[in-house]
Amino acid sequence: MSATAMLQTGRDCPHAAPTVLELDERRGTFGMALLITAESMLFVVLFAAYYYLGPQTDRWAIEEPPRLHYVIPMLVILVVSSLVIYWGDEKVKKEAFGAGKLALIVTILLGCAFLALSYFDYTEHLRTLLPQSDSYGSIFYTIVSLHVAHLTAGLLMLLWTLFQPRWGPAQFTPHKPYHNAAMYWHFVDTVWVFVVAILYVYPNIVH
Amino acid sequence: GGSPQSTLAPAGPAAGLLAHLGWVVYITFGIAAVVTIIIVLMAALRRRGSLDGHLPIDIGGGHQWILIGGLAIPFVVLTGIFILSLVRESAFPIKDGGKVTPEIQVIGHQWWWEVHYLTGPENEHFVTANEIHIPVGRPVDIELQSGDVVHSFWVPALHGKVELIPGVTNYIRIEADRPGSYQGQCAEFCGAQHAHMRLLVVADSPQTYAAWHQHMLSPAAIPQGVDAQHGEAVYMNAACTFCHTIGGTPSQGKVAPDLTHLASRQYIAANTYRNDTADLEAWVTHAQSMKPGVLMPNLTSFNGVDLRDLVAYLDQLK
Amino acid sequence: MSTAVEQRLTSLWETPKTLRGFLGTVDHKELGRRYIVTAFILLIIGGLEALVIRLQLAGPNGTLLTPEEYNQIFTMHGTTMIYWYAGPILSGFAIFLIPLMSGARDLAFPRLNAFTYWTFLFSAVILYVGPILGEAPHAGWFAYAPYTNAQYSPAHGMDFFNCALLLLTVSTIGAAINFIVSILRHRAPGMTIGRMPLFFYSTLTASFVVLFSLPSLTAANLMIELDRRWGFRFFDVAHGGKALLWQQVFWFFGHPWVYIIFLPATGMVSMMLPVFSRRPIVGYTWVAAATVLTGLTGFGVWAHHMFATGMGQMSMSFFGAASMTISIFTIIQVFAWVATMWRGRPVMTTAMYFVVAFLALLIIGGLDGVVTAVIPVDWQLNDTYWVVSHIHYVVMGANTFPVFAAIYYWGPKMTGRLMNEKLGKWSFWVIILGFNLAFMTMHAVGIEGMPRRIYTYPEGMGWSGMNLAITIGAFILAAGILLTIINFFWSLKHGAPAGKNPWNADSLEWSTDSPPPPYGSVHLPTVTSRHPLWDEHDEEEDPDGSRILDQGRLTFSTTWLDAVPFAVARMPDTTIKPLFAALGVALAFGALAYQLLWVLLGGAVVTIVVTAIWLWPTWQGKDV
Repeated sequence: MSATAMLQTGRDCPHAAPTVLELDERRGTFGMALLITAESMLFVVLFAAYYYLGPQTDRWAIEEPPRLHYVIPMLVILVVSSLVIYWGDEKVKKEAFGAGKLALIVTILLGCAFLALSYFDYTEHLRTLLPQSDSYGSIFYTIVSLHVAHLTAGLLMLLWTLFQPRWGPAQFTPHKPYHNAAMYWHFVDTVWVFVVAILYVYPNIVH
Repeated sequence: GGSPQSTLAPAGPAAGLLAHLGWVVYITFGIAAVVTIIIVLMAALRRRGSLDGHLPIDIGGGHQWILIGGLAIPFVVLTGIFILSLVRESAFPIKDGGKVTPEIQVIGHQWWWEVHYLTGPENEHFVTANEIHIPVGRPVDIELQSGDVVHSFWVPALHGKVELIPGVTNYIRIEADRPGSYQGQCAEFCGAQHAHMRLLVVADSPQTYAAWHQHMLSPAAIPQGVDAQHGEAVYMNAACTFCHTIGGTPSQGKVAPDLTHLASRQYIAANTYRNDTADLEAWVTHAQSMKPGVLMPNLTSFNGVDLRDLVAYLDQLK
Repeated sequence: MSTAVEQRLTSLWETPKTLRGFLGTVDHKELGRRYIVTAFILLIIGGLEALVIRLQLAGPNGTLLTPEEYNQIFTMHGTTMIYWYAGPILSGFAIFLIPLMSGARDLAFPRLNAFTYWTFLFSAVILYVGPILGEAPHAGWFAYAPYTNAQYSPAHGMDFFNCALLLLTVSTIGAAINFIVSILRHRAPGMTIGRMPLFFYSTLTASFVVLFSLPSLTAANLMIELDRRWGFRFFDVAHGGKALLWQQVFWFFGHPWVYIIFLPATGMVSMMLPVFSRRPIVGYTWVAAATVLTGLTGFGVWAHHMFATGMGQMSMSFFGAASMTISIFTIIQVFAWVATMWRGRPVMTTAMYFVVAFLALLIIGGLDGVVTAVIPVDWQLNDTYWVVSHIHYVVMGANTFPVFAAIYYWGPKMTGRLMNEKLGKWSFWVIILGFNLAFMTMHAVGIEGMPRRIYTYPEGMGWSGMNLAITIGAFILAAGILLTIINFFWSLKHGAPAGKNPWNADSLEWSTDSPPPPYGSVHLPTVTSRHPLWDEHDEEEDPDGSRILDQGRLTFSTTWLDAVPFAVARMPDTTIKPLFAALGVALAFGALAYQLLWVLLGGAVVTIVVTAIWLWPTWQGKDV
């Protein structure tokens, strides 16, 4: 039996009319935003660990600050790639898929260039500093390498998007792959801005 | 207060403050818990309903419960307790190492306490282990460090806990009101024998303490009898010297407790066994079964005479 | 007897009863039940470990276990209960209940749901590989560095601990994302944010807390594992590392975790207690706000675990004040529940017994926790049995008691049969007797100075009698839990049929059959008040059939604030890809324990490839 009610009912709910409702394609975008939130916290914690380990230590970044000649070009590359993929995303929204594809290819190439430069940056650093040298080496390489890992994941997402036969509304899977991959790419780029500012530039300024 | 480690049987001003504050808090929150639980039970039991017979009606109201019981009363009680705790906390002076000149330095090891006395000129510093002597009636500042993992210094009758953390120097100020032996133990989990990382603080009258302090400055006793002299030879030729120090002898190992005045201490194995002949013999030969995992190995190669004489030597290291 | 519509919906939503269906199900009802069963088995394992601990400590100088064995068992007990039981069992209820309560057909990401179940299961397997190989973790559930470094813990136990936890963080974050999107995007039309069941507020808050705090555990485990096996120096004081870094990073996760395993349980209580009080909850808004504020403030109290580390007075006072503030939010909820009972007419079923007992135990566990927020008192009580008592009053009292209530309350919804009330009440009284004998006594032995985590204690400490009482209490408690397990299996066969709504409850899950059909409701319900089954409107009244949505696996997407439908969401079908993705991840994290770099990379490649196929959009097929 269902009990008779004496509850006050609120305003009536709008009746659903699914015939005019479109397919939900942004569920995945919501999920991606939350994933990015969690991933950001991972970097926040590691940056906090960097500062916690920093002071009172005999040898820290400001003794011999990391050199900037690779990371600044890398920063420029990523900022440009973010702008390119943003433009491509806007184009895809307007169903200009050719321009979207071009933007995607350019972004992937820029990402590869970043990886190549980061290889040179690594080899240069490894000559004077190992992750096993001291706690500075440990946190420095952990942050930088985790960023590279995330960037690689971002590149894989972009590649995955690139190889899809079309980016139009997907009937069966409710995701917007191009937009979601682009979002993740922006996240990876933003992390790099913080990495450069905190791990590279700031020690040089203080020095 | 039946346990030698009871937190409510203070023997000094710091623990006294803590016990007093403890009583205030236990009684306040005890009453709060009992009253609230009675209210809960009354609310649940004072009138019954049935699933079918009672309609889910919203008769409104009830918010004063939340405002008074949930907000106002706890706010007042907690604010009072918080202010009291701040006042009590400020009675504990040692927070910042800068102003402290510690008399004693304690270094925690798995699973024993290395104790350095730092008063006077450098050549009057000395080392002992597991048993800390202090004079009654005046505060003694102790510096706390760790040689390996995190430990925690805790003698409930004298003070609360302070952790010994690698790379960090902490301080604690203890004071005993009356002479006595106060038991404590490591309170932060530190490995296999965490349970047997025990500690004893002996509070003496100022005269007794001064005599003890003076005695500790002397080198180890020279063995007198034949047995003890043979025992010294056994000791010096055995592996003991790699780890232990006996002042004034070639035995200068630094990884295990200092034995210079071993016989003056009440316990062995970080206050786990009584310091008597039987337990010492057992400890030398079977440390691993008495305190499994301890760094001290089983030394089973001694014959009966050697073992007896070795312990006789140790027994006279007053 | 089923109609054509029901048959059509069943064929759309049913998981095939084949091996592929078993391994590939994405049905939230099946996965929710599996989560609950798996977590409950882990509760039993952890409970048996507790009994072994209590046998060792029953008298002085216990010799049942070697010190190392004791340390491994207490570590496995705490680790199992805190991470692998207390969180996942609430996830299980959330997975089962959220779609039913919000009138959706499934969670937002059904395949992610399957993936998080499998990763949860595999992480438990990795954790228990250690003990099976004789190398169990042995540093306690909060595993303070540097004792966990390879120098002091050379065996692989701590590697399994770290890797299993890393995998569990992946699973838990995945589940949290799923809950947030489900609650904010797929509520029944008309279920505005102000009409949500309170269980949604608590689960939503806990899920956001997961997103912001779990990565801290990921970072902590990553750092210690790099130190252990790859020679990094995070915690190595000799090379600029800091031992306290672990405590900071760990507790930044660790205290919020307490609220993650507590808040959803309070949400369950806020669902059950008003039903059995026969009236809506008093102070819905207060309870909702207190829940959210608890989650927020939970991030400001972590250092209250560190009052004995030599912190400055200012920061200690801050964390002490925050800890007292957070307790006020809980007291607000307590009095909302009290007022609800007071102004209602309580029906004392077994579930309600557990709910009322939860209230009493929460009051004790809350207040004995506030005692340790009084900083100087904490200097004495920290790391004693007082804290062991506190954690059990909170985690058992405020998590397991609501879970037992939920088993009696929602169990019939899952199984279709009511549980035996008489046996249930016997079980309750035995549990409550054993629980209080064990854990109330622990308060006293803590005040008497017994530290936690010691494998034995000498005679003459004045602790022996109390420890014997605790051990007896623990066994009585175990017997009580056994009675409920027996009751469950007895009722599966002999219990009275539950019907749709045996408790005459107000929330939407009670509008479906027990157990619910694969599709939930035929007509996706609409909501016009906080109590859809108590108000006048018929949530299934749907003359034109516009809310059947039988053109595919579909459910509504609604706006997060007002729950206005703006789209229909297409849900995936049975698939075993999440299982293989989970296997890949588990392989990668498991390989980390033995530094098998190639296996690790292989696992990563498997995961990437499977995920790429899993998420590949499809364009062909049936029209919507």
